[in-house]
Amino acid sequence: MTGDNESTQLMEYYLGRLRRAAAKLPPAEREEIVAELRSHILERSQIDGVVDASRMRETLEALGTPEEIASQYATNTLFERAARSRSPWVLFRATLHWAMLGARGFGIFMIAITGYVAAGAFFICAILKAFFPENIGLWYLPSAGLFAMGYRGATEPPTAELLGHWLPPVAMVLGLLTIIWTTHLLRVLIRRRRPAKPGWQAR
Amino acid sequence: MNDSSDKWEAQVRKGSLELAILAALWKGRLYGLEILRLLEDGSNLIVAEGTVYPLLSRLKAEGLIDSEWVESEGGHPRKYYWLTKAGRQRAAAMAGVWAEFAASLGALIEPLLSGKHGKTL
Repeated sequence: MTGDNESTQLMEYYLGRLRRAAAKLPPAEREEIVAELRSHILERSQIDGVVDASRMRETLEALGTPEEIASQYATNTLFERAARSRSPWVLFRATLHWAMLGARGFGIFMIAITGYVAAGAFFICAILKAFFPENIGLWYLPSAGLFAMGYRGATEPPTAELLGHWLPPVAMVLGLLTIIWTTHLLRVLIRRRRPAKPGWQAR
Repeated sequence: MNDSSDKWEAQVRKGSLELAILAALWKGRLYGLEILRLLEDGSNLIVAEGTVYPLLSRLKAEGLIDSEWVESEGGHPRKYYWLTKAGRQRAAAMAGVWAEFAASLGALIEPLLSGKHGKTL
């Protein structure tokens, strides 16, 4: 029983670190995780029904660091939420996290960035049209054979502007559609991140 | 073992851990430490023991397992897990895939294990 105090301190230190590392999780979930690991640690560290300090050290060592464990829970939670969410912000954050986990995630993060930046550019065009009516427009560029929306300086060769006063509403709608489409795509990709989940339909 | 084969081994372990946990629960309800002990006995699957708990939490979120706290005589409550209907289906499907995969790979690597030397270029 001599090691009792020391073991309790070791365990509480470990669980304290776990609590801090899991600070972003919902409190109820966090406390349940702590309770489950406490139960594991206590049972794993017993010799003949008594908690042993050196066994406690081995147990904590074998568990891995609290930060690692917390980050695995956080990854779960983030992707769970993202797969159900329609919020661009939640989906974007999940994608950002995914980017740090590997090359595929990074590619998808680039898709996310491209989509949201393009949407932002549409909104900026819609707003700037009020200030630079002559320079912001939907331009047809005959040399390249394509349409481009954006700022065009007076020195560049003249070309037809196609939208006029319709530009702000059209750009707004295009921006919104780009956000919706990008968000939808991210959601589909995040859902496909893991194999099919029969449990979801059952719930 | 060099670095890259270590990495490969870690990935194989990680990839099979989900099936191992579902398989451990096939016969009935268990708490986390019991699952861990089963995995330790049967295999060398576990790297850090702490990875089992987040994985259990994910499997629960996916509806493959469910859980319940039960008081124990030791004083600390234990969180028991069991397979849901969807979990049983998924475990059986995964086991099928795994067995098929292992059989075809097993035939392929058999010469490597029997110690016969292949041609070296």
